Parts: sequence; structure tokens; C-alpha cells
Amino acid sequence: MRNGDRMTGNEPERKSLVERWYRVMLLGYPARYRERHGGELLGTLLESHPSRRLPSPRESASLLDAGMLTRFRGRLDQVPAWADGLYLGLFLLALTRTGTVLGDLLTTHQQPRLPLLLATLLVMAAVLLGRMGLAAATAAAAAALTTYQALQLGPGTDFMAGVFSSRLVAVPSDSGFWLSTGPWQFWVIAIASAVLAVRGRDHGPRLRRSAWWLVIPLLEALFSSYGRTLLPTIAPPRPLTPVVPGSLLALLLLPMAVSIALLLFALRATTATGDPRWAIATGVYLIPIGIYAVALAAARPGAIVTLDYELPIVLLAALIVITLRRRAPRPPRAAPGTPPGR
Amino acid sequence: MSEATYFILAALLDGPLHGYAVIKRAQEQSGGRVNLAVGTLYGALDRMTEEGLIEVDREEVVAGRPRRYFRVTDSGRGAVRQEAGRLAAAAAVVMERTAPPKRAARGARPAVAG
Repeated sequence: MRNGDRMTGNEPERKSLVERWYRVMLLGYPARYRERHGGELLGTLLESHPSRRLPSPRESASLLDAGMLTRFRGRLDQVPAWADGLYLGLFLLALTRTGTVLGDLLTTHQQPRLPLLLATLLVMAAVLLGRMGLAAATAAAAAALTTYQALQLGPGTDFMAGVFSSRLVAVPSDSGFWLSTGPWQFWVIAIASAVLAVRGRDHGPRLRRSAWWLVIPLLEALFSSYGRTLLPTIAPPRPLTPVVPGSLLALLLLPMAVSIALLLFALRATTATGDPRWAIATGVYLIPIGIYAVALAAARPGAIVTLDYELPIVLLAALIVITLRRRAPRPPRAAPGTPPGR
Repeated sequence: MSEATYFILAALLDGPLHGYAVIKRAQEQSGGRVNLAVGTLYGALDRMTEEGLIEVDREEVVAGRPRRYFRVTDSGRGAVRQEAGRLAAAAAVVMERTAPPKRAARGARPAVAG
């Protein structure tokens, strides 16, 4: 028994509770960092607060923040900002597109066709695994298919009136193609994937993400089937929105939490590093929305385009401002004897 | 240079320290103002190591846990010294103008004849 454990009979239990909690907080760090330095951080934490019965909220928040920044900084050296930003943007598009298609599968009023469903899942898998050539080819096929469908059938229920809504003005049917989200999302994924495929593996490690990210399209599908969205910008309105069961009502707060968490993570990372990759990712993610906005404005010049989900635009603007401010050349240091600049 | 970086470098000027000792030393030297959380401390130590301001002096295992001792490099010593000079110059601007004018007043007083 160590000296500290002899203090009281309950000490080992207290320490183990605090230690267990801090071990959970350390999960925010990359696995490799945790293996090398997790024990050291844990030792310092326990040494800093030997008499605490409960974990320190300040230390817990600090661990989460530092772990997240360590993850972000780890990518800075490995992948150039433009490539990582492009990848993250198309990855988010693939996640939400998959969620929307799966949401269609859960509902009865607009079942996706089997080729489109398979193509969407294949694009998602290829992007997740970093097979950018396969992702580009499959996304191009899916884009061609959805473009053909949109030209033949119009946007159906899969348009972005939930994002940019002109509530008082009907959208003319001949502009239906331009107001379809599926084709534009797939085209953006295809072009961005092709660019990354050309970049090739010689210029750094393969761009890939953890399979845990697949939770997002599954949740997106669930929310989409109830006429709601998990991530902002994709809001396919349902003509017949099913009633949300009482047991799921609490889940409706999840989109707000996810959106705010994304906003804070991106802002924190950009503020800490001054790196533009999150701004680039947000910009790529917003391209289909931008096309929709232009199409709607062109179809109905008098229409007032309103953005129901302002967060991505706000995020993009904030990230660009922060990036530019962080990258601005610093003023020369004041000479000794003169007051500092601020 | 942030206040945390300044006091971490200042803490290491007297010799290599491990993480917990850096926290305590920075707290003492800042008059209790800088109270580094562990995540913040190691984030700063990692960043400062990358920037060449400090380096790992040695590693030990204490009570079954690894422990790194950090020491300041010549670059870090120069950086904190430069920052201290800047702070001193900034402080002098105020101190010179707000010091009580005792000596100056006495020195300027005209001598009384007789």
C-alpha cells in the first residue's frame, strides 16, 4: 500500500474514481500520444490534486481542449491545408448525402432507387477509406444518374427549400434541376475526389477517417426520416412528416448540440493554429448551397432568399476572419524604451 | 509571448523540472496568478519543445508512472530574456512618469541666500 492510500480507508476508491474519470478525458488525445504520455499526464493530475474526492471540472475541460488541439495539430504536419480541407469538406458532403439517402429508405413516400443507393454507399465507403480515385469515379456516376433524374423528373422532395426557403414565392418547375441538391453534392464530391486522387499518395499519407464517423449518416437518416436534419444545410422537407414519438423528443436537441459543437471545435482549432483547412472544408461543404442560392435568385429575382440554417455561413465567415487575422504579419516589436503597441 | 509561456520558461531557468514542479514553480513566481491546468501545461510544453524553446532533459519512472524533465534551451533563454526586457521597458514608461517627484523637487528648489 502506498503512503497516500493509508490516509483514509476510502482513499483507494476515491483515487480510482478520479483516475478513471481522467482516463476517460484522456481519450480526447490521439491514441499514440496517449500511449506515450497518458501515464505522465495522469500522474501529474493526481499529484496536483491529491485530496480531491471528485474530478476537477477545470482539469477535465483542459484535458478535452488540449486533446482536441493535439489531434488537430497532428494533422497539420501530415497533410497540407488545402488537401485536408478539401477532403474534410467532401467527406462531410458524403456523410450528409448518405444520411439523406438512408433517410429516404426509412420513409415510404420516396424510396431511393437501388443503383443510387448502392452508388451512394460506395462513395461513402471509398471516401472513408481514402480511395479517392474510386470515390471520384463512383461519385461521377452517381452525379450523372441524379442529374438525369433531376432533368427528367425535377427535384422531387430532395431539394433545399429547407435551407434557403422562399416561403412566399413558388419555385418554377423549369428550374427544378438547379434546385436539386443530390447532383450538385455528387458533382462536388466527384471533382474534389478527382483532385485529391491526382495529388496521389506520394504527397503524404492517405486521407482517411475513422469508421466512427458513420454514426453521423445513421443519425442523419433517423432525423431525415422525421423531416429534420442532424447537420446544418441539408434539410429535405418531407411532404408527410411522421409524428415524432415522445421517447425521441429529447433527441431533437441533438442537432443543435452537434452544430454548436462543430462550430466551437472549428473556431477553437482555427484560433489556436491559424490554419485555413476548416475554412476550406466549410467552403467546399457550402458549394451546393451556393449553387442553389444563385439558381433561386435567377429563377425568381424578386424572391427573398432566406437561410434557415445560418450556422455554416457564420462559421465560414468567422473561420476566414480568424485565419486572416492569425496569418497577418505581426507588427515590428517596439524598441526598448517605447511603449508597446497595445 | 503568452503569460503561461513566459512563466514556464522562467520556472525552468534554474534547472530541469518535471510537469508538476513546473506548475508549482510558475504559481509561486507569478504570485498565484498563473495556475496551469495539466492539459494546458503539457500542450504548452509540447508546443514549446517543437519550437525549440525547451527540450526533454531526461525521463524517469516514479511510482510506476513515467515523468519527463524539461530544460530550457539557449533559444528559450534568449526568448524569455527578450520578453522580460520588453516588459521592463513597458513598465519603465509608466514607472518613470508616476514616481513621486521627491528628489527632483528638492533638487530644483532655489538656494536660499544668507
